[in-house]
Amino acid sequence: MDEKIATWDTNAAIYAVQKRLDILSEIQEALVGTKFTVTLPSGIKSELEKIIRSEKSSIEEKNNANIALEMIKKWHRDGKLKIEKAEPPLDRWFIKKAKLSGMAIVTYDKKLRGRLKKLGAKIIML
Amino acid sequence: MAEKNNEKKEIRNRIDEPKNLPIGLTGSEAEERMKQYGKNVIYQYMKTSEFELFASQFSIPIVVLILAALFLATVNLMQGLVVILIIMITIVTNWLRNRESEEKIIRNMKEFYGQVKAYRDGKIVKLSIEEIVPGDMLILEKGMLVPADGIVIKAKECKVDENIFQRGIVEKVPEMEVEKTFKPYKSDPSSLYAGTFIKEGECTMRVTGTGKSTKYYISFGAKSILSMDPRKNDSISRVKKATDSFGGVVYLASVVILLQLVADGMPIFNAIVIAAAAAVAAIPDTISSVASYIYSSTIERMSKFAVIRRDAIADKIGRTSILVTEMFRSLTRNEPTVRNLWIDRKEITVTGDGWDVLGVFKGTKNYASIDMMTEMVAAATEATFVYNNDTMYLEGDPIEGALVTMAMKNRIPINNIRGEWILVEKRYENGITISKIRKKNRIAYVMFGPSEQIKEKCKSLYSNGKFLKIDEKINLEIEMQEVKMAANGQKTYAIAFAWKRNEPKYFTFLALAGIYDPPKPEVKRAISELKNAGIKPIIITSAKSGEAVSFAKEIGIMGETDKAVICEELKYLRPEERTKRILGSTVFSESTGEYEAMILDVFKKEGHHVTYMESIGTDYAPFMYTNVSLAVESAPDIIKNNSDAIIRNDRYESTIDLIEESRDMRRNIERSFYALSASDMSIFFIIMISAILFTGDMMTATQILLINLIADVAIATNFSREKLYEKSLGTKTSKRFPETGEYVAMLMIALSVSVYFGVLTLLPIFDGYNKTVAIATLSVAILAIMVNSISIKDNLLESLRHVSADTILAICLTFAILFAAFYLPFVSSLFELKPLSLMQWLYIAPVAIIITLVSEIKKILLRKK
Repeated sequence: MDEKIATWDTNAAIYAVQKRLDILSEIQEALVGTKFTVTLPSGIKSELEKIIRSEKSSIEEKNNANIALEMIKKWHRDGKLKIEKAEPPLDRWFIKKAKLSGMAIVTYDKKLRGRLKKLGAKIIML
Repeated sequence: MAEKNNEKKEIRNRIDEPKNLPIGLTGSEAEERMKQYGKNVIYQYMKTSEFELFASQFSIPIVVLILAALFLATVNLMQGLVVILIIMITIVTNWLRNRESEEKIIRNMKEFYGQVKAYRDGKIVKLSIEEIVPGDMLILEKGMLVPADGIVIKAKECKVDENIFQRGIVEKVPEMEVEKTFKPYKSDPSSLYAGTFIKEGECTMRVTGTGKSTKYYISFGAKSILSMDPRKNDSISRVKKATDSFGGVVYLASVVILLQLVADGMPIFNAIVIAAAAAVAAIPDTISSVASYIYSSTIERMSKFAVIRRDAIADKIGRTSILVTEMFRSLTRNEPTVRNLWIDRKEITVTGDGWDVLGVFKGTKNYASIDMMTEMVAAATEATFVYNNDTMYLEGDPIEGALVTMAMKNRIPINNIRGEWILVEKRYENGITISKIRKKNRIAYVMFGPSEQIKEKCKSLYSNGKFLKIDEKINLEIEMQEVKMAANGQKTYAIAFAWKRNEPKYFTFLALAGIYDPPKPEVKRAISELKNAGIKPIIITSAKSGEAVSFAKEIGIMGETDKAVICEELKYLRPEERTKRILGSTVFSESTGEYEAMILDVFKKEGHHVTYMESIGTDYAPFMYTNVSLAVESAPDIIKNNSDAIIRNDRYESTIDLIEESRDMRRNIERSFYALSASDMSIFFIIMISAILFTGDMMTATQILLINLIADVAIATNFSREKLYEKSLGTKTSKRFPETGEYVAMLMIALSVSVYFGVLTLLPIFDGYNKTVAIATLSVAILAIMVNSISIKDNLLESLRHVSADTILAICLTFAILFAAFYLPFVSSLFELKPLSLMQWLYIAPVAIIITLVSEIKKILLRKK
């Protein structure tokens, strides 16, 4: 089995910004004593960029998505997280990863949460 | 009602302000004026006139030699001309070297340096001082240098330091106001002059005169280069003294040679030429031009790290034994960040360093008070961030920058807030900023600054939506937080507010912010390097003790045995106790200009060589108590333009580079002097032997000058260009120069060479070769001296690994001259030299081994020392 990973989806990234939470430290706190690496699918960046560019999004949504994207880029630059190549839809990547290795995930998508729980993934709520 | 109307007017004025902004010159107008008036270069260094510089190359023996050679030419034309030719080559080489030295210094010195805000094409742009042209509208603020002459067209409590023109502090008023009033003024109150400083307030000035038409230039004119003047330059004066010390002995010996030759029956002019040539060869005159060249090359290298304002720094900074700095800007990144907050009586951590706006607030879920505070901060401040090449730069006060960054971390859209709120008024009072802000009918006063001062102005605390009276308990809570923050190296700032239409006497305390300015990444390494080199780094700061000590420990300035002093304590100590306390401490906190001067003065009086690096404030008086004064590039103009040099990009570690360059320079000058003196001494000893022993077969003047030329080419050309490969930072500049040990070594080398030469002349293989052997032995000796001088302390094998292209070039040139002199028939007959066989060279070569042995013994002794 591969090394355990911690991850989050696009909605969780935006939610953390909305609630002014540091998602990375929240995960670290939730997984104290567990060895893991934070890994995100690259598609999360394209999804955030899509929100920023979309005419349907409100200014606030765009702002939040922009901050979330900048945070991911910065943490990646600082070596705090890894980014793996995976294009949307990202659910498949989360399920594949949950099957391959232990997983902890921040997500508010009910359907995804249910499927991942069945695969033994730990669900973190912010 | 009247008050309300006034307020409305005030706000309208503020809104209308951009419409009233001066447009300034257009780009094309500025370009045209630049062509017409030239660059605004006010301070110019005057080169020595070509004639004066050329004439300075003629020393007494050289003049005697030339005159005698002219007389000799009437009898022996060829010999007389060759003597004059060789001496002219030496003179022209030295003259060109001196010219290049002066040009290098001029190229790398800048007296007026900096940027200024100006209106161009209706926009505010930053111009370098040199780009200013008549007609430009400049915006001048407190601490800034007036970079050209001009007229004040707008002023706000503007006071100008005109001490440079013996006028003291003068209040300036706009031209229009002077015309309206009939108030008698002592001097023209609307004129501003280049070289003065804005002491208080601000003003807008229309430029009327630049460059050579400024009052400053007319009053003070151009300055001559001081570096070549031995009276002003320690390195050059030491060299001059050492060279002069040879003079007396050499002149005496030359007279002996002259008498001996005349007694031997030599014609008088021949004898004078030889004696004068001997004097020219024996006195290492070239060393002065070599020293100047090394000096100017050092200034050129130093100018990469600093803007050199006074050239003497190249010599003085190398003697630094104490490096004093302020904490802020020189040691810190100048990117202060709010790291901790105390709000709603709760401790909150704020993540993210520097201008990183992606941090979050940890330790709370209730953001009501934080939202209120960040909104107020955004409205009450003016600092903004600008992007340039993907990097964010702050425009405005760094502390305001820290507060704005904090607001951005709370996802506050700064521009929107500043659009909704109007900053009606902003003033500074004893380090506190008080802003009046307004949003529709709501008016608030926001106050921020050092917590100690803010506390005094607050009687209530806002916590979780309630106003609480600040009682003993709350006061204690605040104090505890202050101590905690200071212990973590943070500066404690407080934010207070009041929802009032008029400024109240007391405000409501809202939050305490622990602001931390992290050290620059390279500072720790630089401090350890300084300590290893025996230089004591010291902090004198206005910061609180806890903050300063914590910071000093973090960067390594304060070790376990070092002590810290709160400057106020010094006041109550007896002078001898005070001196002891100052000498034993590395951190001086809560300082003012007065204490700075006191501390620096003690260090200086106790024999330390103090280099002081200033970064904040506008008081340059402490510079008077230092040996070298430096300013960081971000320091106010008034500090920069009173310093010896301005450190580029505020890089603390540049001081190390400057010290090392200076020490390198001194060692390079010394080694050149020792090498050249050893060669010249060897030449002189052999001339003496030749005069006394070889009756009727004395070396000719051309031969003496040839060997002198070889010494100059080999040693002077090489060492004036080549930099020592050994690191000099840890080597203190020797107080004694030349050192007795070095004199002994020089004497030993000269004696060995002459004894060896004497032995060679006794060998049958060299029968009839006396003069040729003398030149050959000296040539090999000069090459050996040069190669052995590549390093001051390392052995020959080690130093050969670092041999430079300059050394190789010098060796090749020497060989070329030797080959021509010995083996080209026309040249060899000119110098009366005979070609030597390989076997003969093999006999001569061991002189190099003798020199190497003497040099190695000297280096071993030096290493042991």
